[in-house]
Amino acid sequence: VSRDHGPIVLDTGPLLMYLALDYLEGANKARRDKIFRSIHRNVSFDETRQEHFKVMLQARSSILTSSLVIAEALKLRGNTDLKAEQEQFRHASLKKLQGSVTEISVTLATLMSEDGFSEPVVNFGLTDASTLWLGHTHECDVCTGEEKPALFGAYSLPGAKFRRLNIDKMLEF
Amino acid sequence: MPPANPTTFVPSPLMVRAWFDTVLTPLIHGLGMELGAMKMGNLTWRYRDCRLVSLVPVKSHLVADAWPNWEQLLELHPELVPPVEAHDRALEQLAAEVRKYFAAVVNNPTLLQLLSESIESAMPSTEIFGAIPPEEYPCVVAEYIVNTIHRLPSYYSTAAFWNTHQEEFFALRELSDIGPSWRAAEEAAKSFEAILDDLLTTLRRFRNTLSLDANVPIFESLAG
Repeated sequence: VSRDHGPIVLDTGPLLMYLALDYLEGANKARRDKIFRSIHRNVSFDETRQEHFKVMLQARSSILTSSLVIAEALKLRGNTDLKAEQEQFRHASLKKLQGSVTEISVTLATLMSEDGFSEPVVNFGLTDASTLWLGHTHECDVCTGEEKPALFGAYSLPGAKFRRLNIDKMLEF
Repeated sequence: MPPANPTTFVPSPLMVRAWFDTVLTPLIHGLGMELGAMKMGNLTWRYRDCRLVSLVPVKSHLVADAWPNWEQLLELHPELVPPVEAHDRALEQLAAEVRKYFAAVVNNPTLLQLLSESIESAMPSTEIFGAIPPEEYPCVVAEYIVNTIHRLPSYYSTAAFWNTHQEEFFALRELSDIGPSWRAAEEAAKSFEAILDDLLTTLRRFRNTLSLDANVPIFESLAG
């Protein structure tokens, strides 16, 4: 793996998948598939995609996310399988987060002080806006879990220097 | 009263819901992923595991807690048993042929020579293969060949090397000491894919019929 692909910002879904990949290492296929199905909303995330995702992240100079995204991910909203074992999952995730993810605090004040960021806050909420802001300030890719067509509007941010990519699109080559 | 004929037994909506959520939907999803890999020509062979990681016996797509539901469903619908067994038999056959194919490729002297020449003409081998020990380089390349990986994404350290030389490596399949095992694996893959396709169609039809007969939506959440 070459680490010359620059930093990447992870949104809630991809961060959860990253943490789950590590947490489910060694688990049987049925369990892994069940959990990825619930995280990735029934979209296929087979072994080849899991491996590509892992390698793609290893190739990045750093993995960035905001405290807001981490808080969302660890809530495990809508992930009944992980919710049932939330303590073990969070325990494993804390180690992974501390070891390989750079957490950056993005406050409302920070976003409001930047030109053009009040609109994403209003339209998409603080968490999504925080990932766009990270992408903007670090001039890097932002990996999201779902198609959020409205987020494309973020491209019209004055001087935006990031690419917002859906995880599935990102793993296509 | 005569005992209920299992094939005419009409399950309750609660039972159908459980079959959908714990058995049929995960199975159709898992087998769909198998078909997706097959359509890409990717057999998902991993030399370190010595198996096809995404292609597994039907029951292995289900978590152990759901096995009693699966067994009950098969008992009440024995018409599903033959296509399920056919899948598992064809998979076993495919795995056996792939094992032979991989062995023929990885131990081939022409491959080893081509590999060594290609590495010499490129960057230092450690930059290509990273932390992989040199004795495993032929395994990595043989795995790409077996899985029909014609192009690697740029984030793989092996991408530049492989994407440049892959055609030369794929040409090795025509060699007399690889060709027969390649063709046998191709045949087994074709046969497995056809059986897999049939099984998926059968399961989808079965789920649909069950849903309409029992008036139970396939996905509860979508039914509101």
